[in-house]
Amino acid sequence: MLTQPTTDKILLAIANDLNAIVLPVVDDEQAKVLLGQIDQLLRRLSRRSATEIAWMVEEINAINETLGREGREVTSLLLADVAAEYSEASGVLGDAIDEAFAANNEGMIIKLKNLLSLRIEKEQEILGQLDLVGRG
Amino acid sequence: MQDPAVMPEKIVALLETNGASDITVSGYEPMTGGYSRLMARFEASFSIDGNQESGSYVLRGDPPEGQAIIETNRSQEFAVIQAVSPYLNTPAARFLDADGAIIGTPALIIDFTEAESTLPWIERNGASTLPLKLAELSGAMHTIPVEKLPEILARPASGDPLTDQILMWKQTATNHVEHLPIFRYVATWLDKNRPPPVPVSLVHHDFSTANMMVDENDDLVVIDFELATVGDPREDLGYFKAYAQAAPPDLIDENPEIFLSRYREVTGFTEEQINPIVMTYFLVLGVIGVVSQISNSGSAMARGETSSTGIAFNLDNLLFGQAAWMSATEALEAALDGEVK
Repeated sequence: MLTQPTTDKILLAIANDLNAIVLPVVDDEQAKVLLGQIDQLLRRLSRRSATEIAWMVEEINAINETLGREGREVTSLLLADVAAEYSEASGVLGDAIDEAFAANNEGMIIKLKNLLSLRIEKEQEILGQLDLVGRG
Repeated sequence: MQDPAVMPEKIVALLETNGASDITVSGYEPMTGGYSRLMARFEASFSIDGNQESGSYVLRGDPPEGQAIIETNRSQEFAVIQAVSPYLNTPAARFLDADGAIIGTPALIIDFTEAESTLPWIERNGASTLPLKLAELSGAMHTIPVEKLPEILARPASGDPLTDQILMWKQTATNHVEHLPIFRYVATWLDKNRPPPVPVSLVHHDFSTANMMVDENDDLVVIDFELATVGDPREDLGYFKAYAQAAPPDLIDENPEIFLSRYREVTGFTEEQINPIVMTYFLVLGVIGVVSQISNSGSAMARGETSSTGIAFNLDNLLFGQAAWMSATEALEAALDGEVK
């Protein structure tokens, strides 16, 4: 397979062309709104496609380490498999949050919040600037 | 609803069914800005109940099946607008096609308002007068007698709106297509830090500058009651602040003292019941109605049951939200610990 240019670069090129070439010749207001949404989505997908598998694996490992889930490893790097593993680890993290709050375990709550902060940091990198195109 | 060639005839049929006669419909034109529903503006003249009417109207209907960003009910929206119109500055609801038999999709007709969208108005006039106007508008909305609201409007199932909302946070985390640990953190945190209760009232649930306009008297007009329920009125204030974080300005922050003072005056709430800390609490709690709808649509798309750019686009709002909610809980913890006032 041809890996270059990578998916993130192609998505960015599509977004740039839609913005520079297609959008200026569109008159229909609803189509303009849709193109605005597509532009933002493509730019986020570009950032996400470049990093999401690595980020999910990193976060799964961090959750497992914090919760003492030893011996668990991500064995398949297929996107669907990693996403399923990520959701499973997220569910266990959610259970741990409930337990820590119920036990008033402040130390554990701080550790678990750090994991959530790690997630939010990456989500913000994917999100970039949010423009609620189409509203008001 | 997007075809100007066929829609005037359907509107005539809807008006006839509602007892109107001598009907003419012209200038049908789809509108943008409806976000969750399709909208179109048209001119009409007709006789009804012995009166002659003419003017501009808005047709507001459901998008084609599978394309809705959120699922709501036009009959409920119609009933709510009719119930709140005597108390609020909002365009009147006029006609309803509950099952879409005439229009082709469930739809209602409301009066068109010449009021201006809030953000362009603020760009020209500034926002200094609006905190007071916002307090009066939200106060008026939150003091409509609950017994005057339609029965179809959901009431707190548990009897306590906070319990219901926190449960919705937990259910959204559980029902989403993948696990959402930040939602679970937020739900548990909200449960642990409840503010003093206030009486239930109408809650708009999408109370933001996007659903407001400014009329010729410089008064705020509120529109779009599709998500309304009966609940804790402070949910609307929290939602307003949450929306303003993504789409400034925050009219409450323009002058919080004036806003809170007037809002307390209109509603009779005490300083313990509504203050900056409580508003921040509701900034988090109050978004769950819209958030759960976005989550449901995103899950349906992930399962292959529906598909649209709008659904994927709106799902990204949750990324923005998760950061805002966690940041708000941290700020509140600091405030509650007395670290900041």
